[in-house]
Amino acid sequence: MIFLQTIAQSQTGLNYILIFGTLAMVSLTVGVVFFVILHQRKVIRFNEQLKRLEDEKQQILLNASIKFQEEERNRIAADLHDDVGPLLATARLYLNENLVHQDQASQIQSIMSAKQIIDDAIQLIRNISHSMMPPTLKNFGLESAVSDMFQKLNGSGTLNASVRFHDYKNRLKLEQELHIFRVVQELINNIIKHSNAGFIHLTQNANASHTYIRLHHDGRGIVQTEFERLNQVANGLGLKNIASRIKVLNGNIYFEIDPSHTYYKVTLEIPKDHTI
Amino acid sequence: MLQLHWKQKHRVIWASAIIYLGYSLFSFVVSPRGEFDFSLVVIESLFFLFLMLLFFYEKMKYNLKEPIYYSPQFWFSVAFLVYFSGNFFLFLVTQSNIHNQQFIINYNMMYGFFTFLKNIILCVGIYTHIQHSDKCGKRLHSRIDTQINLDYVR
Repeated sequence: MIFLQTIAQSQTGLNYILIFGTLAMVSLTVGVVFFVILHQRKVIRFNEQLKRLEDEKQQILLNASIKFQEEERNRIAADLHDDVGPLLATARLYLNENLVHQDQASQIQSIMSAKQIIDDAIQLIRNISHSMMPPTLKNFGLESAVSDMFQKLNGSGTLNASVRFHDYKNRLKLEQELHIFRVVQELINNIIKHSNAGFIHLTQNANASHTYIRLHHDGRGIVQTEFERLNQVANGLGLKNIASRIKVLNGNIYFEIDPSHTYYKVTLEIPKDHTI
Repeated sequence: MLQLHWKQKHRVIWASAIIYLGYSLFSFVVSPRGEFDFSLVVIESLFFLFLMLLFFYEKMKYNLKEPIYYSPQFWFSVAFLVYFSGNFFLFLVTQSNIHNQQFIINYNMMYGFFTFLKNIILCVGIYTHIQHSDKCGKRLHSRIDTQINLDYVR
């Protein structure tokens, strides 16, 4: 300041200081203001773009989940119409009005046949109902339902499947368990269909806040980036269904390959106290 | 005017303002009769420039919903930024040239120009404020058509 005041003793020096100093300050100010405006606009535009992408992704997931639900309904409708309907119609044929005019032996045979058909229909309805909500899951929990599923897989003889639940003293909410079960079902379905795996191993563990489920398999798998890419494309309902269920659970899913490159891992991370 | 996010920043600003006020009073008492200490104005300019830059930094970091120039605070800040940065060198050399006739003419011209500019930008700020309030008012009232009867009837 003293230096400036010394220079400013002469009129020319003073004028230079005033003109160039002020010009520099004003240019700096204008520069700062423009920088702030442009930078902020850029950030806002970037945020909007992110939001739009997020909305699009949400829309795809929602569409997929609606489509999946519709397909499920169609499947149930087809099962009821094509299997249960004809069975009951056949049973009705056996039990028609002419039955009373027939001899006793034919009557007994018709009734037995009708009974057998009705038993088949009951079994079929039970199967449909079980596919909607597995009774083992409802009554005994995730561990039993998953073990059941893996036992059936093992029974096929082509796949070595095993389950290990480390910490499952307290059951999760039924809705949570159903979502987890469906995700596991879908993952196993994908592994069987696409990976050509020789073994599937499921482990479960938990801490105070989360439950973790990990599937290991030695087939052809995918990693996280691939999962996200497949999730973005329009077709492929299964993965979108998994993603939407994980979102409902407020959890995470990680697709990884083991460092030894001998097997793939899919890990579910589910918060325990999340209300659906 | 500032929407500070850190409590420390609030404290620093208040403390600086109080120290500045104390220093001004001290300078007023100590300086000879009829003279004005221009170093006070230089400090004031620096303080305001710092405040405005802090404001811009905050806006850049936290206000990411709508462009900054829609907010009246932005224009008020720009007004004071232009005023203090434009007059900064003027205030800086005034003390040693207060008796220079030519300097006084230049001083009045430059000071007048930047004050005029500041007032114009403040007007823009007030106009933006009015527009902003109108928009908020409309947002509150125009959602539902008033022709639609939504009264509860038993």
